[in-house]
Amino acid sequence: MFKEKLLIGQYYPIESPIHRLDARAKILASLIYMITLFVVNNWWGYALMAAVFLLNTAISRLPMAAVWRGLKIILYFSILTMIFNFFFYSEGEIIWQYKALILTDQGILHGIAMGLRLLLLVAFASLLTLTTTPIQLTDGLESLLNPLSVIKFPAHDIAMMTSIALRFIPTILEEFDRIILAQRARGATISQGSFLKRVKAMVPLMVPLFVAAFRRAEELAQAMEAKCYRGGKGRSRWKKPQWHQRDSGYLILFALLVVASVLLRGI
Amino acid sequence: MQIELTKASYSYQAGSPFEAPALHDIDLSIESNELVAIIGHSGSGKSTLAQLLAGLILPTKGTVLIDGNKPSKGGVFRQVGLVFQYPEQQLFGETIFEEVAFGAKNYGVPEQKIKHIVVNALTEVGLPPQLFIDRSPFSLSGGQKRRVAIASILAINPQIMILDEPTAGLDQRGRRWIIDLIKRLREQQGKTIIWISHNMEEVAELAKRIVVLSEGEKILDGNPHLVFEAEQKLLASGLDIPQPAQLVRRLRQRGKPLSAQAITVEEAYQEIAAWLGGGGIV
Repeated sequence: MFKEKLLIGQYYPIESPIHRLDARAKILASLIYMITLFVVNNWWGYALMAAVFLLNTAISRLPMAAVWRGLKIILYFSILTMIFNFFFYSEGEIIWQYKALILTDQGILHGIAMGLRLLLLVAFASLLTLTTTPIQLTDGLESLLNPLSVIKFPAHDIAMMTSIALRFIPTILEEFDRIILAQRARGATISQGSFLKRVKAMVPLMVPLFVAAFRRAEELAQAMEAKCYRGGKGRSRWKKPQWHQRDSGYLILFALLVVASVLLRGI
Repeated sequence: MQIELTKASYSYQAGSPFEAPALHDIDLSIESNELVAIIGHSGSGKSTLAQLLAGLILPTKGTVLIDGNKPSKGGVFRQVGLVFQYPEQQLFGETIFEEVAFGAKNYGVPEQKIKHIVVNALTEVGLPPQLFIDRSPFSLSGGQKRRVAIASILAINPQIMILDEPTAGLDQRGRRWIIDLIKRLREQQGKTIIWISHNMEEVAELAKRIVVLSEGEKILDGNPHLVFEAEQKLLASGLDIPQPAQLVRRLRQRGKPLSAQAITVEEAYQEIAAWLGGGGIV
């Protein structure tokens, strides 16, 4: 089933110190982590970044299987990135050559580093969504983007759209599973035949999916208007995000990570 | 052709924290040309059972045998047609012809026979082919869309038809029409019918056998009289006995000489008329 396969970072409901952190702290930490990934330039740096990821995973008490399941798809991209870098990096000693394809020793190292960087990037980002509910995430995002509303940046609307999108991912996947089953019941084969055949086989799946998505969107818009939704103006909140000392502490650790990664560049 | 479930269980997203058990240890055997109603409250596992019976999903535990064969992952049985709940939501064709022909084409029915099959299926569901065959399915009313969806299963000509809440959301006339179709399919074409519903009243007049599901377990299985006798069990699982049966039951409680066997309006009428008129039915 698609719903079971495509759980890239769907919230994993358990108790842990990472789950308890304020969403804003986690969003900022993820941002810092991503930037730091581009600061590091040697194996010590990558080892440090991988260690930080593993430590975070351990503290978040997520079973490795749950994290891994979300990463499988990214792994393909990561390997692809690696292979591309192998052949498009011309510095270093040539190990193997076939016409225009050149494989160098530094190219291999560079490729591995690039693949690892992409993998860690997505892995850490998936920790954010695995440990934070969609509501916390968008409230956090809105709160972080709010200062930008001075320059007419629609912080609330973007946060609302993001939360609706996140909220409906499982629903639409469920719907998709149901449509697949229904068309299979009519004898449709979905993953067989030539490329053209497969593309054609998508039509009976995609048309009902889009029809349903538009219907849902219209119903939701009507329901929101019926409840007098007019955007963020004057809207109050039932659950306000609370910033604790532990959140400041978490961010300080990430600031130290930046310092450490800069220092490691010199080695 | 027979479908047999032995201690079949099914859980959604088995093995994750989102695991949701839907069916538990179901034993069920459905014979040729039977008309079985599967009744249960929403969330009782009816739709999951329908998909299991059609071989579309595989049991997490236990076995399902369709005509002696185990269903395989991703496989389907042409002999078992499942009309999903709200089947009008699966429509995609540019024309009704394309929509109804979809299943038959998928099963490799030769091109020259398709037209004939589509015309027959549309006639069967009461949509005059000459008026409908070239129209877009999206231009139809809800009830007509459902008929097109049912026609697309009929075009495959399965031996066993599973209908998941075929009357949901239809008006009285639409319901009546579906019930008549079910009757025709069984009596004239000799099909086996598995009819999933949450409405006792509706299935009482046709079904010879009723299976009651509650919280994913089979709690009753037998002829309507037997099932409706277990009134307490039905009430506890959120189901009601048909109103005619309730009326007869209340009259009996007041000591009136009626037979407890009356379930449908017709049977209740016969009983009451016999009691009032001393046997003289007008």
